[in-house]
Amino acid sequence: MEDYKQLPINFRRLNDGKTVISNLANIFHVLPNQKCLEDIFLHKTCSDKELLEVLEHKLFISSTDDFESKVQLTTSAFSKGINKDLRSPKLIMVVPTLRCDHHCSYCQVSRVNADQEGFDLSKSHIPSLIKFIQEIEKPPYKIEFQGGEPLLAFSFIQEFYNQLLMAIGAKNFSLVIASSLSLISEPIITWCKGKNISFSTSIDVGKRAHNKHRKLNTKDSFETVLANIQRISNKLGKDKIGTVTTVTNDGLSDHNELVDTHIALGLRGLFVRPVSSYGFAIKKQAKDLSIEEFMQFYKKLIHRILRENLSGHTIIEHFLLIHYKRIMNAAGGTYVDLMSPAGYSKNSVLIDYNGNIFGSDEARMVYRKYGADELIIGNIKSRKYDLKLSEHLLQHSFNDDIPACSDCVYQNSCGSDPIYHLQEFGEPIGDKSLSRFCELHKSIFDFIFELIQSTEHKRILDRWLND
Amino acid sequence: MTKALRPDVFYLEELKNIFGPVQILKQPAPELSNLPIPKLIIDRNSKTDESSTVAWCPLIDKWAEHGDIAFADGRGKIRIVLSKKANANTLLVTEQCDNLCHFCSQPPRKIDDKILFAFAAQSIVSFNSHHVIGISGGEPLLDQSSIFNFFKILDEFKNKTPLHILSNGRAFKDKAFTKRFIESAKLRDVEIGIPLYSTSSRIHDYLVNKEGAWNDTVKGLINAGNMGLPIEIRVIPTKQNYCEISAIVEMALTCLNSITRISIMNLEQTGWAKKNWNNLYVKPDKYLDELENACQLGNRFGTEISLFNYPLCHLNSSLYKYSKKSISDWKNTFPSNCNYCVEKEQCGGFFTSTKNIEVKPLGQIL
Repeated sequence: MEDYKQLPINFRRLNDGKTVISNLANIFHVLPNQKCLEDIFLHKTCSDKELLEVLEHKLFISSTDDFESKVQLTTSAFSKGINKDLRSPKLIMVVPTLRCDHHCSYCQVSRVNADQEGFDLSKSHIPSLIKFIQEIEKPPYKIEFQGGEPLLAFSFIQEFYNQLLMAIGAKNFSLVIASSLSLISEPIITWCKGKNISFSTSIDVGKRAHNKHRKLNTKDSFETVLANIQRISNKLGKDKIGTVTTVTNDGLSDHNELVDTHIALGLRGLFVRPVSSYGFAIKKQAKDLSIEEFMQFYKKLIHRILRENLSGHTIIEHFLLIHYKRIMNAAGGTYVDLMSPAGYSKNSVLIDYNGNIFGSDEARMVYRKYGADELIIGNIKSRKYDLKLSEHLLQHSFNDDIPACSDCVYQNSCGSDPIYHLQEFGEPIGDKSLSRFCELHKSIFDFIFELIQSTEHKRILDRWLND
Repeated sequence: MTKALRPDVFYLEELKNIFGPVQILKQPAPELSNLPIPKLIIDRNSKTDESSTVAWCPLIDKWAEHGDIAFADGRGKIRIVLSKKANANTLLVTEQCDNLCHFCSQPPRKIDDKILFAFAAQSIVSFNSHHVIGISGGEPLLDQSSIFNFFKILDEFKNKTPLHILSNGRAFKDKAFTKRFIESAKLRDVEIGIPLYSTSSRIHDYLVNKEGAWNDTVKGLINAGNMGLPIEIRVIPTKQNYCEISAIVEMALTCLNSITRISIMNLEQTGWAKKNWNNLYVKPDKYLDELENACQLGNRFGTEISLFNYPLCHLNSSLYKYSKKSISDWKNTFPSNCNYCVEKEQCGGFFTSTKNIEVKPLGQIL
């Protein structure tokens, strides 16, 4: 190529001076330094033929002849990305009860005591719940029971399962029960056997942090959850149990204990993220843990996990993997928090214990904390829906035209979170320079580019993609 | 030339003066009498039949099944074009093309061959299969009125045979045509196979020997993909583009919608590829890493990537799982050395047309 034209790019300097560039097609390249960026895109004085060839392949530069087609390929890729985010399925969450046996310090939804009345979804609403689900989404459905503690309302789950099975057949849905597992019993496990039901539970960073934050009045919460994970894993299979780790400012040096715990349980996956800054958790915990502190912990954790993988022990950290998938335009790279337009109400919906419908779990948390009635989309009993606010929020959740997102190098891999920004800034876009959402995801993306400079590490992440 | 797995050309005195598609029957089939093409009944007892030609030929009896379609040349020679015995069925619908690829296996001829489209439609209707039939050329979408008429005939007979159409995709740069094409084809499953030989016009236009072709094909791919037409991308590695195979695959899977699969195809030494062989052909061992990189993109994007026309002894064992037995049986062969190879069962073998076949039998104890 004798002469070339530049296509539009975004760029960002990493800590080590290397410069990441990206385009609307969500293709990335790392340049050695900012001078190189200027030589290529500003002065057109770069003489590295091999580099220019790669940049041509990646739609960063083009010959004059191909320019129009290259622009069209870029916009086609951009539309493909949006299309993927628009078409991915909805996660349907159901809160059968708000009652809970734990008193977690960072509880986002203000649970109520296990014996309190009036906080359960009545079984008589199951038919209208199923009808609602069929109305808003195509099978196969992914339905997750949230709480409170769903196992306190296990008979509701059983009844719901039976009615849904009759209505649509076992192949058309799968259930996840998000539970602390403290109430799991032999009859519950036996009933779940052979069914498309799995469990998701929490393990925090180390025994000390877990017991401090996930308080049980009668038992050792940490020991209880480990024993019950083992039971489920033995009796229902390893694929029927997944864990989520919430990082607070306790246990920030216990990354090894967290990994060891998972290895000892024979689990191949972790999902680790900072304590969420929604609803009631915002006051209690989130402000105490900065994203910077979280990243210090997280990097140590990931390096330990990579070492495990290098020694032939496959363990996947899914929070990192989901970010990597977004950067790589990989299949299955859809995650409610990393979508533009946002996942809110489009890819998630939550039915609360009283039948109220929310566009996401976070919307329920914000509603509960601030009494923001506008966030209630409707109720499964009345079947009347008000989507005015949801539409407004979604309209403001395309990140390509948002200040600070529009020129961010990670724009097309990242997403937007109108509920978080509504809570923090009183409107769905917010000030990204102060946004915890922005800081977290940008840090993870930066970290990935830091990591994949090592071909060894890149190979592990690529293997995770195929897992 | 070595012997093909399935012979497809025969001579039959009784078919002199018949030109065009003929349906081969093993016994009278009144239910097929309303169909548009002549019938040839292969019957040892040679009973006369008013509506059909009756003849006996043990070779045709052996290599054709009841209902197969043959093409008669008017001088008694027939070639079986659609067969239930075949591993793949393809019909040639035109010899006209707006590209002039250096490796074209079916070089275009400037003759009036409009009748081929009509023959193809008649053959598909009579064969009435629910297995996919390939449509190739020339460029099947060059004569737009012929392709629409073709679908009209199929629709009139309520034929639903799935079709795989091999096109250079240039016609789809016209959005109105693309829309009308999709509308016309909608009664059946249609997949378009479109070759993309480079990420830039320089190399693609050189290989297809036509300036402006890459720009048309890329715009066509974008339009057809955006309108939901299932597309198979085809890539042929040559000396000119073997370094960018994975870049082509990555660009296609990043930018284009509706890509069903990607096929990387080893060059076939026939047609114009014969005279240009030394300028084009590059041995796979030069670019095995590139093939590996390209195939691994399939996992990342969730799209099937296959290697066509590569004998296993020309690949690394890590690539075997991507390799398909892709060579049509009538031009497929296994030289005698293959008999010593432990991978023969899994292997797609060679083209009968290849000169100086290099066989490296695998797993041999020397």
